[in-house]
Amino acid sequence: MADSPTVSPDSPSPAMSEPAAAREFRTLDSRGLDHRLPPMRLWHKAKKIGIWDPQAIDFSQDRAHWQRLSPLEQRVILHQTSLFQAGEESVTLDLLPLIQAIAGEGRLEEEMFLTSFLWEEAKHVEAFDRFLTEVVVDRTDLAAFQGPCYEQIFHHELPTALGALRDDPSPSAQAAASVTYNMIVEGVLAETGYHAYAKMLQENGILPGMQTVVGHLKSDEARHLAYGVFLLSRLVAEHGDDLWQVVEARMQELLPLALGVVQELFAEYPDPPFGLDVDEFVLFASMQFQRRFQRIEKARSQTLDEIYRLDDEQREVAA
Amino acid sequence: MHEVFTQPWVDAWADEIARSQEYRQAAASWEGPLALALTDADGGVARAVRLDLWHGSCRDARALAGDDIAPALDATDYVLQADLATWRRVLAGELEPIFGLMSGKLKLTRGQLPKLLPYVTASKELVAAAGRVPSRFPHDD
Repeated sequence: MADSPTVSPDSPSPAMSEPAAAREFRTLDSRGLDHRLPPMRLWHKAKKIGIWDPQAIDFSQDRAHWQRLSPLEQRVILHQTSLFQAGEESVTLDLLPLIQAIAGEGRLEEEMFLTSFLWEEAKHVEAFDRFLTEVVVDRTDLAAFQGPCYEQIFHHELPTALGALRDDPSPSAQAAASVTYNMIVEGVLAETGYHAYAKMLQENGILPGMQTVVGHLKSDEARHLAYGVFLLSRLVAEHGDDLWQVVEARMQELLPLALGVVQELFAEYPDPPFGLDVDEFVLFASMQFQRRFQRIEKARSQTLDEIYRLDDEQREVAA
Repeated sequence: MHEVFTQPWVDAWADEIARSQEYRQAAASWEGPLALALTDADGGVARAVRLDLWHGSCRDARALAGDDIAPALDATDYVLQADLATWRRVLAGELEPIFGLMSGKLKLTRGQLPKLLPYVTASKELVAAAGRVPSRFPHDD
């Protein structure tokens, strides 16, 4: 056996040499977990309906369908898929600082839900990776589909807003990060994109494996968005109009970029296949954005207790 | 200093639009009239201004009141409607028009939102031109 440093059970490691601050474990006292909190309800849902496995998706028919599509049809699907895949990779890489900020405040129920959130984002990356590897096969130049607005959001705004939380986990920084991640990237881009993508695949009866994937993605993203609406509502209820102004300003800053991503996509296809319609994208995005915006704005006149006790029906509407 | 939604105010706005090279460039392909409508206490239109916009210029600008409002708005491609507090924020540059429409603060009572999206910059420049008009609002005194 090679020599190894002798470590006595009594000798503290360097990290433990400082006297430890007294720490309370809420799950050991009368408080326990609060299962009525919105993030806790989302956690229970995630455990029941978020447990699909990307490896179990059957892409066998998708490969045959893919080979029968015209070059233009393949390009349109590949264009959207590559934007989704880069987006999912981004949100997987960028989420951790928000989880750390929430955990740093001792919000155990929220952190528990966020573990499922990150796990699900990672599965989304895996599902698209399988599709690109096993169905599309040729992955040449996929990054070339990213336009200037897309690059600004995913190369700069998202990693910067989330990364800022490492040094500044303040409520304002959390709000700016959540608007970027939940309201814009997930709420406008992903949800609208997946809605249109799913409709395109279903109405044209193609790529059944990918249809299954997108069904799971929509379900997962609905929970993520519900958490985002909850988080922003909580922050607004806790910190008032100064925080609300951060939320509104960040939305104003990013919404034109998000709408620009939709325009960049359609600008390449003056006569898009599959019955794709830019107006439908924009109207769906507008309707969903407006609903969430008004829900969060309502928190300006709500107490924290009202945010925590939002009943199920209200929460479904908000998401 | 002109009161908003009056003829002197919209005339001054049209002058600012004519002076705006930024607007001229951003709206180079825009064709058609656009109106701003002020919501009254009952949800109707108290006053409105109508701009006849064409390829980056303003061909005509009119303030509308009373019985003139409805027929003029019916002949307008895009009508944006809001209450006074919201217009105050828009004209102060605090609320961008496209964000106002997406968030529901501004109502698009005529026209299709998707068709406005290529004109995000043009809408900002149009509002910026209005913001340069020395303005006062009803009940400011």
